[in-house]
Amino acid sequence: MPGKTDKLIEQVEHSRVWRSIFRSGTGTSTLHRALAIQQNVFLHLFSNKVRKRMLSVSSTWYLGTLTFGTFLILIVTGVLLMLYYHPSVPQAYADMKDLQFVVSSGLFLRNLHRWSAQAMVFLVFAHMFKVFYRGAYRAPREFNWVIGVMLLLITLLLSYTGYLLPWDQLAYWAITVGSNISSAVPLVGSKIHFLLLGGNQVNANALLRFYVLHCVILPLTALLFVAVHFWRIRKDGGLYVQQSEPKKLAAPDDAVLAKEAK
Amino acid sequence: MQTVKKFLSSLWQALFGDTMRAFGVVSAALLIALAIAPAKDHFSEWHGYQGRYLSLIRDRGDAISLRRRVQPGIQQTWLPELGVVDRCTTCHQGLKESSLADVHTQPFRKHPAIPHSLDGFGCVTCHRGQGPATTVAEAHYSDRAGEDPILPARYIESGCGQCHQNALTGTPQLNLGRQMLARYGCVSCHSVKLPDGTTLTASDNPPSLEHIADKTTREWIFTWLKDPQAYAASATMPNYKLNDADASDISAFLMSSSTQHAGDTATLVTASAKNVDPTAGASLYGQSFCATCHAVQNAAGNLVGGDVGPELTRIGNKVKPEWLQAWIENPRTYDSKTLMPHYRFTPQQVAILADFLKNKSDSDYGANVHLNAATPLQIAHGRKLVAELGCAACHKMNGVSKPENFAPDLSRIGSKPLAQLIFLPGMEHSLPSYITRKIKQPRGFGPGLKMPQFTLTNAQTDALTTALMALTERSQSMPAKLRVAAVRESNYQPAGHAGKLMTELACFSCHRINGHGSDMAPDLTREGSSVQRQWLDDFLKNPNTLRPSLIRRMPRFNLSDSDRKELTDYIMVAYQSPDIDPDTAPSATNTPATVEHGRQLFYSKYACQSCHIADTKTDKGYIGPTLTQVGSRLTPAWIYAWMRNPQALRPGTMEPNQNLSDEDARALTAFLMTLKSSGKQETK
Amino acid sequence: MIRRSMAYAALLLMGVGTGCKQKSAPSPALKPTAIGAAITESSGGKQVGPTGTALKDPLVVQVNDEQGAAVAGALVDFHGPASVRFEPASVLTDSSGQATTAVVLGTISGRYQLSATTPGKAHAVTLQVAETALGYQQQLGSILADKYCNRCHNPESSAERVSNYDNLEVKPHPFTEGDTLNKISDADLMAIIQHGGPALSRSALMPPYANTLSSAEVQAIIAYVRVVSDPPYRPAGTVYEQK
Repeated sequence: MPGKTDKLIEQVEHSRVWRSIFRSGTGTSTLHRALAIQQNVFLHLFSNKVRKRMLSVSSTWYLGTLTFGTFLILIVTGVLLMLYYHPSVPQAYADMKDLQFVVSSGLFLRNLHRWSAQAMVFLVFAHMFKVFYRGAYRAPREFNWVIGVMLLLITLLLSYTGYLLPWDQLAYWAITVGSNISSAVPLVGSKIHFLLLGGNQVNANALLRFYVLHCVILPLTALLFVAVHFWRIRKDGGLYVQQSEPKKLAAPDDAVLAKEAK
Repeated sequence: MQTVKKFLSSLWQALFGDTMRAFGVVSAALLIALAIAPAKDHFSEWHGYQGRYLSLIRDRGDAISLRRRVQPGIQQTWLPELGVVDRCTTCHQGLKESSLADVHTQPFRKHPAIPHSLDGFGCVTCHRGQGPATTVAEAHYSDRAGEDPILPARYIESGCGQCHQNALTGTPQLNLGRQMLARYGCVSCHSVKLPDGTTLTASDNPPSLEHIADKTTREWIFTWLKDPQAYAASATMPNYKLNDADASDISAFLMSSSTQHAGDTATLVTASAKNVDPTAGASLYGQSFCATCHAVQNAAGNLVGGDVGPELTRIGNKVKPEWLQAWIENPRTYDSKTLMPHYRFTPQQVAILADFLKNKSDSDYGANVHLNAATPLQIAHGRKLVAELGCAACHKMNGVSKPENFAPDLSRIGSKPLAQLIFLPGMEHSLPSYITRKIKQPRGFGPGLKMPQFTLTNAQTDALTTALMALTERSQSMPAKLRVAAVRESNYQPAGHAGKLMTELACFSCHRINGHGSDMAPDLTREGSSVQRQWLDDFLKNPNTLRPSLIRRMPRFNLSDSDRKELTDYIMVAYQSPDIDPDTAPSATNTPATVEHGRQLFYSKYACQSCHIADTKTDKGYIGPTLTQVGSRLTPAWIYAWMRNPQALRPGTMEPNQNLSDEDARALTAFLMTLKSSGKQETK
Repeated sequence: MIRRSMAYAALLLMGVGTGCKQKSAPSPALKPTAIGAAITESSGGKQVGPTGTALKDPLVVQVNDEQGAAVAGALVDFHGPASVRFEPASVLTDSSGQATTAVVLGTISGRYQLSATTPGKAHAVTLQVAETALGYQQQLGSILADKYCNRCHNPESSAERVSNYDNLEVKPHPFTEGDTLNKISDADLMAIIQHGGPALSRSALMPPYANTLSSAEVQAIIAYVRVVSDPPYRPAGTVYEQK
């Protein structure tokens, strides 16, 4: 059995269709593995190689990966939610009710979206603190840090704009408070307030503006910045390995050597 | 740790070691994950209810037709103009099935018979609750801001009240509640704007306090303020729970702000009431039918009499004798807008009646009240209290004007979000329970509240809550074509000297003419077409009993001949109805055969003797007026018109419309016109 | 270590489970001081009221012993269908042997069989009481009947209104007389109300109301008559037994 399936797989992999899609083909040689990353439009943002030490959980706690993962969950659940949601004033709340009661697994979809959003904000902060405390912002990674801060801002803005969309009491008053805070900025505060809401009140216009921000403008901006963020990781020399760890001054013993050799 | 790691890695190997096995395991996991969503739909709450409905109808006689009408899946009633999205019929499947009227388990019972279609109004309009929900907890009990839990059955009439501003036969509690809102003075402080733009006005007529010092003493005011219901159990004034000092100060202020009345009480001629039969007072009180409007507590403690005027059980404690005499002599000199008629008593009668009423007192009432003379500071404090407590909202007084926006507006109280209400510990979290508790214990919700304490029974409180729950957002904003307007009272006033007479005699306190007045006595709008002139004249001289078993009676005014003639002329001429041709069924054309035919119709075919007495020797029917002298009382045209259609002449009358043919009506009219009085009318 | 943590978790769950199972202590139970032998109704039975509301008069029952003397301190429990509320549901009889409770009717219209039980010497003694709840249509019928019908059909007079019953040669049937009225079909009742006594070959003393009351109002009156009739009215049902 295994032999037959392996032969079958080999046949598929050598077919014309396969080779048209996956140009370099697969293989276990270093070249093949490098090309698989490099020639993939999505994956070529990443480095070809990664330090083995960085794969352990304790080196990054996978915070950046998890952040991106929750972002993907948010995009998928968000698009599905968009199928049922009208960004108009009485309809928005009714749509939330319909999602809760009528749409199959609608409640799960909405809850997953909301919880992933909370998780993403938490993870983004955690990721930022990790980068800071590990010193991964130092040269040549300064610009990547700036991109990261931009991503933080975009994440917070996404969270803020999304909060209004259910159009319930929680949403309305949270956005009222938030936009009033923005109007406290000296000199340009009231203009920011006006720009944010598309007017002076939290009403149908504000809802529509927030909807477009939340579903189109901010996600596209975020994806753009994420792309640059990953590209910069590759170009800045891969994931940052802490230099501050003390060098091994004592003689390594056999167990450590054996482990290093693996 | 090592064993765990080993265990995990062996598990990993077992599941994903081989490529095919990995593929199989992932596929299986994916299928299971895919099955979650349809499984959740299948095991949803409403699906279970629909299954139970199917098993319920399976064993019934008409199972086949019931099964055919079953609609699976989520059902909804969508009415955009009412803002209704109701998914109740998802679980309540048997709502429209008439054969399920005997089912006693919810949610499968047939909806009780109501005058409206369920599809036309949805469910939430009347029952509240969260319509879009498909789970029991969310549909019935969700109480987040903007959502209403389901309305308890006892307040269901409030749903009717959202559209129906008129008084329906089938909503007695709502009608009572609306009446109470006006009668207990609620709307004097709380404004209630009705959906048609008018404001609900109070109907309780609280007395003006501008000349209160002429009428009563400071001690009485003090005792009254401490507990109005101790003076008169039927008093509608609420209890402000004042302490002694505050009541003393307020009474001092009222006495000091009172001005001398401009009327000429000084020139009142008071005859002596001595040397008079001791029962003369009681019999004059009875003959004047004061009990029609005023109630008195009898020896057994029952309240006997009407509720138009104040209770007179302890009137002797309250009023000054000279004021009482002046009032009985002519109420309008003290209060020009009073409902009490000017009886035109002789001075002797005034004295007898005043004496009789003065004896209606309770020696225990206010026995230990001794108030020291008030200082200017106390008077000022009293004035401050009066302004704070809003007394001027109901009572006209000197020095304090009627407050605006004194209490919260109740026009939309029925839609008040629960998040804006305070609930005391142990209270149910619902709007009706809040309103009920507020009515029962107004000041229990916090310090510094001013609403006074009303003495109401549970039934009255429920009625009031029902009426208030009908004042919803929906009632204000619904399409005008769905609204049913209330019957508005007109402000008709008769003209000329006769009009002045009718105002003095306060005819409108009991009778209704041209849409203005009260329902206690017959509507006189068509009285000119209805009665014969001589009878009306005799009646005004001496009102007798027409309708046997009523308690209320028309009082006898001592009208002068000229006044009486004026009144009779005015009624006969001004209150003619264009619908009744006075030349219909003239008595001159009646032959004895017609009369005999009418008599047979009266007794055999239509059996009128079941309710009317035409011949006292044979008839006993005691519901409608006696007809023994109807030939002297009514005009033939009226009798004819009444036979053809009583409800057109007096809407809501008990007399059945028997759809008489023209011939039968003429015959009956001919018969009835022969029933005349012999000479002098007998009085009852 | 895994075993230890699992043991702790199990202990925790058990603790939580037992803690949850323990309900709050019930209110102090009434302690009866005497046992009665018979229980009868004093007042408050056979009342009629709208659904969901409290009955006007409280239900008062009397507990006596074998000799007929009143028993004070006996426990009386009131039971009824699910939606009926008693305030209170368990009472001790007072010095005259009476137990009083206010009854709040349920939400379904129709006749309610309530029971009052007292633990007797050997076994519990139960009294059945019937109360009627009126739905909207039946209440409308009750109001209309009060205005148009009860003057003749109700033999009892009140302070406000004298009955006409004794003045009629042919006595009308009171609406509670189920023995006669249950035998008349809905269609026949409709006929006699709308077209008078002669429609069913009965006395013309009953007038026709077709032009006075709408057919919906007549149906409301019929619904009211059906719900108050004693013995209860059983409509013609389907052939198969209904569960």
